[in-house]
Amino acid sequence: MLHAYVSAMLRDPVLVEDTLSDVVIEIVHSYDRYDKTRPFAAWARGVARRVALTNLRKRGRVELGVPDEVLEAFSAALDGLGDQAALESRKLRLRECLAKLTPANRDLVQLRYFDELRPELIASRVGRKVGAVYTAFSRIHAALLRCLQEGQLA
Amino acid sequence: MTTPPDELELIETALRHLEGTLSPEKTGKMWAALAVDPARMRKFAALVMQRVQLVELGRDASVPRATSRLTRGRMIAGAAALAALSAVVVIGVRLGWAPGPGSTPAGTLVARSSSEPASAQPDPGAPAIGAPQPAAARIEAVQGDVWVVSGTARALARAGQALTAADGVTTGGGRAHASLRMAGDTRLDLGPATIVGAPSSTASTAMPVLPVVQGRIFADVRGQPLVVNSPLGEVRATTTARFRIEVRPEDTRVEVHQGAVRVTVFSTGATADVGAGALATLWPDRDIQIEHDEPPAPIAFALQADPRELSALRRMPARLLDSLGGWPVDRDGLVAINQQGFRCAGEQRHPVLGFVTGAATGNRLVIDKAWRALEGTIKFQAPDGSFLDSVVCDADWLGEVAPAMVVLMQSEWERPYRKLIKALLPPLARVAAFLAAPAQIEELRRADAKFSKGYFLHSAAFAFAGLLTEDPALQAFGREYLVDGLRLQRVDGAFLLYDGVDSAYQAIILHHLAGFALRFPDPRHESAVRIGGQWLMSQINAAGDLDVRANTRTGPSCVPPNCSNIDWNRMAWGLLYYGVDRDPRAIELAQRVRDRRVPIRE
Repeated sequence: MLHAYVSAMLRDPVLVEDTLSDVVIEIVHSYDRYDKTRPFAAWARGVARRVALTNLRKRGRVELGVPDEVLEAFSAALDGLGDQAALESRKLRLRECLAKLTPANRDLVQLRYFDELRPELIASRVGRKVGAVYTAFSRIHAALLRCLQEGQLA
Repeated sequence: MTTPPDELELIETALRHLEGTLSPEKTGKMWAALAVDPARMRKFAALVMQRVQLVELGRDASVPRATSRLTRGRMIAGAAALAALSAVVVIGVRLGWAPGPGSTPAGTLVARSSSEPASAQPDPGAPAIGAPQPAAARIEAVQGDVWVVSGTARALARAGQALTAADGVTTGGGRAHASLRMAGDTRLDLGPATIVGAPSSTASTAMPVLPVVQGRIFADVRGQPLVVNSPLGEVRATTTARFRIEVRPEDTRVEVHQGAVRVTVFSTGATADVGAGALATLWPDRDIQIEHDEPPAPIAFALQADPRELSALRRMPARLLDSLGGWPVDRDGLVAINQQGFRCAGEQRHPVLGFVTGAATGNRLVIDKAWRALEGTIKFQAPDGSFLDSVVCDADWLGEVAPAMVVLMQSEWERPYRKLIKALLPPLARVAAFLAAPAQIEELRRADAKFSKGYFLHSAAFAFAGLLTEDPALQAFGREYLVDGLRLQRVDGAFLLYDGVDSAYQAIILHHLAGFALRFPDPRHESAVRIGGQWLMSQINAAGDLDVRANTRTGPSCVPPNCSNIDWNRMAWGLLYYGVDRDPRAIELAQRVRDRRVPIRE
């Protein structure tokens, strides 16, 4: 959940990874300031947001322009996906959905998410324009979302 | 059903945002649009989570990269986290947060940095503070990227290295793995992307405490108790126990394979006893969740702690694997000639590869089909363990089933298929015992002396069945049986088969031999795989055409269509198993050879 939250805010994969490690440290350090009457996830996201801002500043990047209330709405939407057990189950279903993609789309998923290549590099690898790669990924993600929702790919 | 255009547009915009290529202006517009439309916000959240989970699946699959996923920044961050967590442990001990078995934690202790004053007072009855002792841990084995981290410095870990109380251990991605041995014979297996501190102990409790920042650890606790701490809670094993602990920022999961442990959540003080077969999830602000199941087969723990077969498979192209697992199975679970009446268990071995590909790629359908074929075979097993067919048929079947079961048990599918797996092990043991009798061995040797592929498939039958049934003698016999097959390798790497060579069967032999070498490493096995693979590569041209001109078994001619006398899927398996971690060209050729199915002939 924290990973999703941080990646939506930061976008840069390396910065996301480093920030997540920093968040773990910060959670350990500031655990005694956590009010245990409140949900841990919300507190952890607050820590993550603070750490993300710090890391952005350290790297001289522009600050987050996302209002707090919008991030709150995003957090609520993430929470709506279910608890950790539900997310684990979702991940298992996602793996099954992947197996139902066409081979060409499986290859694209492999390149982007397993080999962690940028879309620009994928475009040059598969001989397509970057825009076409984004369009292909839009359809892939839409199909996977549908599969998760309905239990089958259209 | 298709996706509406506006939804596709949202997804594409979101993807560009998440890739960091959307302009700030458009990013602002996107967030503004999401803010006023809860349904779109939910879709966006689902998309973000899906991307994260896809990356996690890739990492679960242990895909290797040129550089480790643990960046220098993360290494230092990990070291800092270790320092922080170590401080938590020390303070926790100082506050009496290491109670003996059966006692409750002292109050609602929370983690704090050692630089901050402790507000809680020590329990007067708490044991005296003990200074951390030199750690009684040693690195027993390493694989892939493993480092010992001290402060912000790191050095590559090596087998035999002793860890001090100031040392942490981190593992990189891919196939990274480390085994640690502690006093009392406790063993710890660290999976990829894991960060731990060295086990320390206090003079007062003499109970080693292992801090874990993130990752997955398999603990086989023997001889003395062990406490494993995550940022969220602790796992206390006071008796012999085997358990897996997975530490993530949001939760800590503990699955007990054997014995029992007590888990405690730091923030709430909640505790629970977790027995064999149960999976406990600890959150900081919720009740401990426990899912009960029967305990897994004893061997599952060791296989999951060191899942080298599954890890190797997940370094192979998933799409190609997916295409190699299917096989027609009728509703009775029978294949090929057996559909006209059961004649040979060996014929039933082909769909069993579905366990391998399904476990590697997540395709449950082929796993289910493989089970059907397995059950379709087992029902023909006679009381003596045989299938009332030929000895070779039985050994062929076991040679495929036993290694495939190892892969399935290493995967996340072990839990859903647990009952079936446990029910399968006794029939496997029976057929192995039948085959290991002198009369059957003699018959196998006679057959394998000509059709030498059998040496490799049948040695796998004995060794992997011995592994699954924890029978060291059977494993030793499998290794011994393989030696006879290795003697048939020529100096150029080709294996003799029917007094000549056969490029198609060379691949099949390599498949079995490389799989064997993975689980039972031996310089002779590795050397045979390497030169055998090089010979095979010399028989394939750049286009992927296979030289069959000297083939003694499949023959120099080709049976149309597509040379059906050659099993092209098995060709691909051989190239994949030889190629993984040895020769990337072989991995590329595996796909090409299988797709082209073109022989070079007279």
